[in-house]
Amino acid sequence: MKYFKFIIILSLVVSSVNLHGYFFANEIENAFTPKPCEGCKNYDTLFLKQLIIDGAGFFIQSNSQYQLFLKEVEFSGIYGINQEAIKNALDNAVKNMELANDTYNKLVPAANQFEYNPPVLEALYHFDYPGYRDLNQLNPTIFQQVEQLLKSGDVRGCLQWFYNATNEIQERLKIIKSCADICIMPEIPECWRLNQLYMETQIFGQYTAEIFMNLKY
Amino acid sequence: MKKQGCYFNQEALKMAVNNAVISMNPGWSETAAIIILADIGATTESCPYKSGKYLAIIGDFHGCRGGSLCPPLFKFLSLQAKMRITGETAIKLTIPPPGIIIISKSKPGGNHMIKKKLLTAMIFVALITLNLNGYFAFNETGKAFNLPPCEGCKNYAALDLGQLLVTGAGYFIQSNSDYQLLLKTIEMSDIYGMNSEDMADSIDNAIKHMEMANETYYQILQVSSLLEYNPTVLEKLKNFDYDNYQYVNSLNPAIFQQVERLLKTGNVRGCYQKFYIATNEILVRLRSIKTSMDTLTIPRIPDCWRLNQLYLEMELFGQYAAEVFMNIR
Repeated sequence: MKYFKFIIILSLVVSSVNLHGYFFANEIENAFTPKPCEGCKNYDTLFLKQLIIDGAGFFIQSNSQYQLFLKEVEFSGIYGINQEAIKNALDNAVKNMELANDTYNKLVPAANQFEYNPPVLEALYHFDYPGYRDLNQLNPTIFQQVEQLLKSGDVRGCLQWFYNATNEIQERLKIIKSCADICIMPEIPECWRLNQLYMETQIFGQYTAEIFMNLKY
Repeated sequence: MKKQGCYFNQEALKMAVNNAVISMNPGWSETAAIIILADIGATTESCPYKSGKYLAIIGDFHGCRGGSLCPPLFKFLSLQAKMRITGETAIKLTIPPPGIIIISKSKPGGNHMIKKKLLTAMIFVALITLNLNGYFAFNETGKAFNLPPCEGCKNYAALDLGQLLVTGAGYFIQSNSDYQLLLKTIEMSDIYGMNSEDMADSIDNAIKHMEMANETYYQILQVSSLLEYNPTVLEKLKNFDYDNYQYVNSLNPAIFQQVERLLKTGNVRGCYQKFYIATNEILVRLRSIKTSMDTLTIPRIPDCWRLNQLYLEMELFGQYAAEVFMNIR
């Protein structure tokens, strides 16, 4: 038990100086120079890093809640509609997606305060995208979108992409929630398309993190 | 205790369906429901009506677009005892054994003919296992098999299949939700601290639900092997316009191609097999992550990535298969 506590305390201490996230666009802040440009607000890239981790966490949490909603709808044919569970899941999915969207809304202008870091852009340009894709059997369509942005060094475009995607998910979630709030089953094709958007956005975010975490510069 | 509602056997239902007068409520979407006015007769003493005209709703409700009947239908599916249809009529419902239906008698006479009857008294045909509302993984793929089951096969095997498909999908999705929670906890651990209890709960739940999904897909394989394919459905699968559907809905090409390859050739069992193998693989990977966590080691992040990809791709695979089946009529 003591050992366990020690590990946790150690991890907290380490985390305060060296933040890590892994699953959604993490380390993308490395594309920016640590020093803010002249006349810019005095941000530091650690601030970007924290926003990225926050955004990732909220996004993934929202996806988890949306999956719970789908599960409730799926099971309703056998176990009946659990209106409360459906409402809770959707409320949480909406709330977390709003938080994710707010975070990306801060992240996009914050990133604009920084200049790109040339060695990282160079590494992004030379990264072996096809090799990495084939080795890890990544989804070609989604990976191609990631490659298009990162190879050309458009990291801000990536952040904008997340903002747009979370906006769209948020809108669609609200439509579904407005149906569920009055006990009307949302259109199933709407749920399908939203689920696809969640999945594709999450894989997009993950691939972005994968590339940044595999960059050599 | 006296049972509520009226009960009919499968044969009575079949006759009712065959002899039915079918009409559509104009407020519903094309696929919402089919209304049947039929004399199906009561077979138990608990039923207050020994014979007469009954209104039945059969078919699938997948296209239910929020018309006045949707909420009652959902309540019906929730197996609650009471259902209010128009504010006038509450119908007692109970869940019968497979193949039995529950009814409420339509009110006799009246000038509003079918419409009035539809709104005031209905028979809900509880072919629950045939008409299960499931939407997100392989649902309705049971259509690909013949009813009744082949000679000598287990009775109601096809009925079981519908229920198993919904169950398997539900467990799979729940496990995905659990895994997402785990990822989120790891993701935010550097900011908010590591919550090892949450992480342990998430991985345990993800494993438990994936085990249930895996078991269910094993049963699905067993049950589907007892059934013969339905040639009409296979024909429709062959002729379905996959390219157009993929284009119109912007489906992920790589994943949809896998679905198309199996369904176009009528290999519905192949879909189940693929899912069974995937649930096996996910289980192995989840257990490996759990082993790391049990020894207070953070799991290898690339392992988490690949597992996440597998979850997401398989869920889309199952969803696309369900979409195709729900779009072949």
